[in-house]
Amino acid sequence: MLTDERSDSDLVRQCQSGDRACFRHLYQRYQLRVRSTLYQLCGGISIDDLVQEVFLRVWKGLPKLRQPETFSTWLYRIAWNVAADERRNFAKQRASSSSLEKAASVVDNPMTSINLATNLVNLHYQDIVERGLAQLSFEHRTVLVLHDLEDISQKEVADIIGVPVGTVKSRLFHGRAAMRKFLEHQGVNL
Amino acid sequence: MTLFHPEESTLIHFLKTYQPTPPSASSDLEERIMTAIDDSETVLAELNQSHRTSKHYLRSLRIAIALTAGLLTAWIGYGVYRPNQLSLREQQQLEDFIVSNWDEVMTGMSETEWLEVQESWAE
Repeated sequence: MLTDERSDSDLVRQCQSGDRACFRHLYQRYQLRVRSTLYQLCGGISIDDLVQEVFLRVWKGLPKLRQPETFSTWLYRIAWNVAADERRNFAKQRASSSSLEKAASVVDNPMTSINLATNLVNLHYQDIVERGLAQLSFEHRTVLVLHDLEDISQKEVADIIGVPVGTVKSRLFHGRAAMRKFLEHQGVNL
Repeated sequence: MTLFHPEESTLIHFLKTYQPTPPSASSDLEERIMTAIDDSETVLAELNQSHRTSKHYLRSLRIAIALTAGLLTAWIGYGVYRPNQLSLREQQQLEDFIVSNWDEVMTGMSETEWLEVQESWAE
C-alpha cells in the first residue's frame, strides 16, 4: 500500500497532467469508502466490476474536473451514478436472486464464516441492517448510507445526488423512521 | 457538525456498528483498474490519431473541392462573359463601315470648313 501526504487537490492536478501513480494513490485513498457505499447501495453482486467502473469513469472525467478541491463529492456522485445505473439495469434480476446471492456470499466469504462461528449475534444484527437497508427505497437508502454511514454532510449529499438540502433532510427523516420501524419489527428496540 | 437527537444517535450508532461489510476486493483489482486505464488511454490515443488523420484528410478534401470549384467557376465565367467573336463577314462589314465613315469625314468636310461651322455657331 502506497502512502501519500499530498492533498486530494494536489493529486488530482497531477492526475490531470497524466500522472497515473497519483491516480493509484487516489484509488487507495478512496477505494474502501467507494466499495462500502456501492455495497450498501447495490449489494455484493459484481462489486469489483462496479468499483472498477467508478474509478475508470473518474480517470476519464478527471480532465474535466474544474475544482479539484471538490474531488470527494464528485467521486461519490460518480459512485452514486454507477449504483443507480446498476440498480436500473439489474433491478429485476436482483429481486429474484438476492436471497440466493446473500446465502452464497455468506458461505463463500471466509471472513463472514469466521464471524458466523465466533459471533452469531453480530451476524444476526448485520443481517437485519442489511435487510433493513434493502427494504428502503433507493432514494432513502442513498441518503442514509451517505450521511449516516459514510459521514458525509447533508450539503454534500445534496450536491452528490443533485437535490436541495431540504429534500435530503426529508429523505433522511423518512429513511430513519422506516429503518427504525423495521428494526422494531425485527425485535431490535433502540 | 450535525447534532443528532439522542434517539437518532443510537440508531446511527447501531447502523454503523452492524452495517454489512463488503466482501474483500480481489487481489488483482487495483492492477485490473490500472490496466483498464492503460487500455482506455491506448484506445483514446488511437481514436485521436484516426481523428487527426480524418481531420487532415477532410482539410485536404476541402482544399481540393475549393480549387476545383474555383477553376470551374473561372472556366464557366470565361465562357459566359467572353465577348462574342465576330465572323469574318462581320469583321469585313465593320471594317468597311469604319473606313467609309472615316472617308466621309475626311473628304466631306475640310478642316477650314469645320472651323467655319464652329465660328457660325459661335455667332
